Amino acid sequence: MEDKKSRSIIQQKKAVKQNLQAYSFLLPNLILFMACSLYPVVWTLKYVFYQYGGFGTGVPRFVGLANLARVFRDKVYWQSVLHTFTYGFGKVIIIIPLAFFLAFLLNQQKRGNGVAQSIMFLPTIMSSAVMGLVFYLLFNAYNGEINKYLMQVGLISRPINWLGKNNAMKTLIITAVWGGVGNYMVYFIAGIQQVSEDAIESARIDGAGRLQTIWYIIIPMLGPILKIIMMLAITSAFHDITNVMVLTEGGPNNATMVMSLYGYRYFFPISSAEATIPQYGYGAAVSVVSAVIAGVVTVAYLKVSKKLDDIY
Amino acid sequence: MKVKRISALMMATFMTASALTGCSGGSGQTTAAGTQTTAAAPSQAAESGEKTVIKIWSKDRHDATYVQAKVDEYNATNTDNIQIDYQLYTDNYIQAVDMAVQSGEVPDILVFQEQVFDKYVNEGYWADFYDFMDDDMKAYFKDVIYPGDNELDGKLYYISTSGTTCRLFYNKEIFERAGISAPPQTLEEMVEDAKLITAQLSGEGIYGFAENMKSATSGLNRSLIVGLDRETGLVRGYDMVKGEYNFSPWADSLKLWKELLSDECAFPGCESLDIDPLRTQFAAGKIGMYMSYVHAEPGVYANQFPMDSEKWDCVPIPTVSGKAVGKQYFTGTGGYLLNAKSPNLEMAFKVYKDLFAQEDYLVGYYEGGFGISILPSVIAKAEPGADFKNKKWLLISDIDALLPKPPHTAFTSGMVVEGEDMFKTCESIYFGDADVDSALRDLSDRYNKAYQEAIKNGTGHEVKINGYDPMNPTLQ
Repeated sequence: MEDKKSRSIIQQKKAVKQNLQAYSFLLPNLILFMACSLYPVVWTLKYVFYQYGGFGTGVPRFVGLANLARVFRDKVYWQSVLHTFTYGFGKVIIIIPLAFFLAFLLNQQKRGNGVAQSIMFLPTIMSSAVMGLVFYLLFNAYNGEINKYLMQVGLISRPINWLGKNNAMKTLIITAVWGGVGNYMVYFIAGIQQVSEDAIESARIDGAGRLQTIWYIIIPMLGPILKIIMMLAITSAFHDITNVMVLTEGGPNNATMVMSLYGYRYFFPISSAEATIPQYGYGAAVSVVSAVIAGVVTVAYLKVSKKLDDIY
Repeated sequence: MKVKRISALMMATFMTASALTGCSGGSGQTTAAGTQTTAAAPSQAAESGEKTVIKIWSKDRHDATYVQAKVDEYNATNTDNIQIDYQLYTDNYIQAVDMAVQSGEVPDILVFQEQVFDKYVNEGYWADFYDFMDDDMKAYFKDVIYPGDNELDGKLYYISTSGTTCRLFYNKEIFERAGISAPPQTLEEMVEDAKLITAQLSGEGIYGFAENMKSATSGLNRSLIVGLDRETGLVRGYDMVKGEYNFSPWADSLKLWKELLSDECAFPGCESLDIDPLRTQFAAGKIGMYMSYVHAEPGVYANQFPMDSEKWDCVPIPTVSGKAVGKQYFTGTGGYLLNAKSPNLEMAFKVYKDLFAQEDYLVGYYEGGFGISILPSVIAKAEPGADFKNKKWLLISDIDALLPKPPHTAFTSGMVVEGEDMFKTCESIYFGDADVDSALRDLSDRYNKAYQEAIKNGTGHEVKINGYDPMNPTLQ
């Protein structure tokens, strides 16, 4: 019995020694994960139950479930959720077909396609804040380049208020599409290049035309990568706030307020003149509810998109 | 095998250390004051002959050139081994101070900003000037010490050397072209004038009215809300006599503002306009009227966005039917806060006194058009620019007064208003998404509820001034 016990201890020690190397490599990531991901999450969960204006503004006050109850009463928040879906849906339905079209066009071995691919990819490596500023210069109503051009060619007589209440969301979607299409195009190119040449060849021998080959062979075979691309497009739409901040700050009158920016502004008041002081507790409650919504959408999408895994 | 394991361990340790170093942000490149951890720095600096760095933060772009020149001169000539590090934060000033407070890196001297002051004064972040001022200095500034404003509980936290309020700025040339003989005195006239200008000149890209509405708070704080103080006798919607919020009297003004911001009157894109792009368009002769602060605009049009002084002037902010039952907001500017926790506090005060409290500096500031002096001795000596001589409403007048603080500014962090604040609520009204009367009723209810809760929780206190007269306001 004694013998068996000591043998087991030796085996355990040996296992630890053998795994020491693996643990050593894991340690830095583990520490960073705990410090930069786990701790903020726990911190956020804790402050859901407190009212707190931030460092230097007194002691946090326990308020129980009041912050969560307030989220459910907050009409502006639920509007921002709706705006997030509008933004996400608008972005996805434009960016996915456009990225696929560009990928298909630029994947062919033609002169200049490499340069065109690089140009299309360029916005992806550009800072979102810079992109927002550039689009502000293009779209602002009073001296924006778009209005200037439209007025010069006589299409409009009065400047269109691209960042006004009725158009701001559309402008944001255009900005998001421009900024992201290159990235998704690259994914599609990678996917298209993996489609078996034999399958395409067989389809052609069977008499399939160009469009039929795309529709019946290439698109179905892109299923798994399409699933990932859609997933990335949807999730990024949920936390895309830089554009919104630079272009509209969520306005006018919250017309472009998205849920992540709504939560953010309770931690860091957006504008220098924002009278609201931070409300960490309420911001935490908004963030938690938003995370749940994003989670539900992701799970639902994964369930719906299961079919995309089945390659012909 | 053993060597391999040791090297693996060393590598892991190195990676951890370097990653964590990256996370730490590596502060403290200079001997700058502001952090508790560098408390020993001044003496070490003095011993080693290194200069003591005094950090000054400002939010003001309009006077930056003037202040920078004075700072450079001070750095070149001072014999106390002091180096001033002057930094400008402008748009992000409040957030920068918040971050500095959280990270323990508050600068030694900061330009006064109301929200920054209110938020941290009760936490002991700002030093009491009386601890350092001699009798001469106290006598010199006695006219600008206001109990209940810059002097609280016998402590003097900042000294305003100039003042500001808000006015309606208008382009005289545009008015002439539209056939308008005089600037508007009522809000109704203003709407009519804006409509006329837009109708006649929009073909040339000239419109009647604009305001920097990208941030409702920034736009309304320099326009509508200021006029409403005068029109209603309330202070930011707060009735000092009854001790409660009542936003209902704002309704008439908001209805007219809805017209002002319609296509018939407004400059396209007001909703996404910041103040500087607005000023560039005003200077370019594209905007008939807008409202802003008197201390900043003369300097802006003289230096930042040059505009012929003959072309613009200003008048009081028009109110509904010209009604005026109270005074309008006037605030002190040119004030500086001293970081009470700075290890170089004494030296910081010396810098403040030698630089910002000198009469030469103050006279130059007024003459340069960077602020309107409220110090009698400076006013007597200075030869202010032509703008201040010829445009009478640029000066602080009898329609302006220091107003007492309503609860939401008296205890900013203690009063949490659920839902949108007064600025965003006004935005929802003038952009046509909310019914004026019900939105203002709801706003009053929410502010009163938050105020009462603050009192109940002990995070606020009752604000009421017995016998308060809006035409002769008292601070406490």
